[in-house]
Amino acid sequence: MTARLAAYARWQLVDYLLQRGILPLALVLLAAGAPRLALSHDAAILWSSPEGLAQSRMLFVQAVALFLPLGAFLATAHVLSGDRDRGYVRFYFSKPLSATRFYLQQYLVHGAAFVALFGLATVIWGAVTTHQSVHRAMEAAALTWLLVGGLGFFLGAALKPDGAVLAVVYLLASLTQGYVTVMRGAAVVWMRGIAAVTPPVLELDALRTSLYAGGPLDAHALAHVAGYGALTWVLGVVALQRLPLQR
Amino acid sequence: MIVLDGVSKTYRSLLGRRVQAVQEVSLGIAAGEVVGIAGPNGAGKSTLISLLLGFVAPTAGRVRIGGLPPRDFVERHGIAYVPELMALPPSWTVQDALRRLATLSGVRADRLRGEVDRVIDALAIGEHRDKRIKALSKGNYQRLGIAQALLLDSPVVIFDEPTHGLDPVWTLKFRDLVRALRRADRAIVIASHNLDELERLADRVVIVDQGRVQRVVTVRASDASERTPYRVRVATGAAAMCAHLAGATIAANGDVDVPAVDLATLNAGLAAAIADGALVASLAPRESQLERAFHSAVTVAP
Repeated sequence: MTARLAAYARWQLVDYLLQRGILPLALVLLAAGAPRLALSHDAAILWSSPEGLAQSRMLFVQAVALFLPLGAFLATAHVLSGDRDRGYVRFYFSKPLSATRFYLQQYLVHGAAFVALFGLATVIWGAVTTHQSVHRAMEAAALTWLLVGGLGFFLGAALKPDGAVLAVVYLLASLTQGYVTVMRGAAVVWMRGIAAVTPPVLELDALRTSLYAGGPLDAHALAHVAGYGALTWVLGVVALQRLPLQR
Repeated sequence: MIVLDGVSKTYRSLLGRRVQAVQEVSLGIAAGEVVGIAGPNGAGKSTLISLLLGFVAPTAGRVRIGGLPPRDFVERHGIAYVPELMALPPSWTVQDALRRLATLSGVRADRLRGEVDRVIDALAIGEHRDKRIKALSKGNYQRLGIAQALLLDSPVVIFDEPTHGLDPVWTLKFRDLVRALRRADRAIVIASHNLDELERLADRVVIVDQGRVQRVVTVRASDASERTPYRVRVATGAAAMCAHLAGATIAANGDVDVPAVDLATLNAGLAAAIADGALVASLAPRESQLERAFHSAVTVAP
């Protein structure tokens, strides 16, 4: 089965690139290209000045804060649930295959391609504006995938409208965690409860910012994000093994 | 090879509504057999097939294929399966679909092209190999579905409404294909509304209705003592036919409807009518053995 699945990985990669990877890549490059074009006459001078450097980094961080979660969302939403809804599972899983291994591989391929594409986008960004650390950008993408991809995997295995639920959960986490951070001890109990159980998206943001800045990572935040992400992957596997393929 | 032991399946909606799709089905299918599953819409055929493929788990009872739970069997051997509803990504080409599904079926890379060509030739879809699936006609799509099932050399083959959308030529060819698939170590299950097709292909036909097995019919050659109603088309001599076959009536189109009789009575009546000048153009049972069993087993809505 391993050889069969490994041979199929190239098809999964092609599907990801054609259906899910192009949009976030195009958006990142557009975000890099727009200021470059607007300032084309003075670009070289601007990007080499300290102000330009800071501006480019800020632009990069802003673009990434938007496009990394979006890219991860596009790479994970409606993968598994889509196959189930459209009836493709009937073709795939009458073959000698484990659905759990098939989808773990698919999400792994999507995740690896997502991280690689983001590295490529960072290289191109650097060529157009100013250099950004590619490996740190890829680490940020991997961390995003661990959390958002894992949550998407679990929701896809368990639910039909996984994309919508993922978007709502992400938004709810951002709002409640933002509120709790601002209010500190004064935050109402139930909001603190929601903030605690939803995925740690603010900590993920903070970790990404530290990565781009080249600063040390908060070990507690890293453990929380990695632990939460790992848990969702495990829950996804359990849901795939326990719940029927056809619903 | 396949054992269903007291299998029931109940679906529950989010609002708690329960639908009992399959109830206490017990059935054994041996290797070497071709078994048909017939029943009206909503009888439970598709749920039975989903249970066999392990797509859903039974609420009660157990299903075993080759001694294994269905999912374990499928993950180890696979099942050559043609679903009732064809659903493949519309942007794939025919060739891509077959190459992908051949890869998943375990066809080695060095044999991939040959195997794909083999099934393309078998189903005569060569001229469509570069077409996208969304551009295929219903019949060609169905042939693609059958082709992908043939990529897997499995001890279990399941066809769900396999001739749905096929033209008469391919319906006939499908019968040859099933005959070619018959093997001593292989069980073939065909779910179909087409009783004539099942009668021609299957050794036994399981008639299901309201989620239960209503009857299992062993398909066999005509039995001389079996009483069957016939329809006789005559060129001349309908009245003579009625005179020599008790209870026979002349239908609106001039054919003679003979009530259920055994073969000896039928032949004696025909011989007497022919001696009186009747000219018989054709003779056929009004219902096949399977159709009679089906109609007596199934509750037909008014």
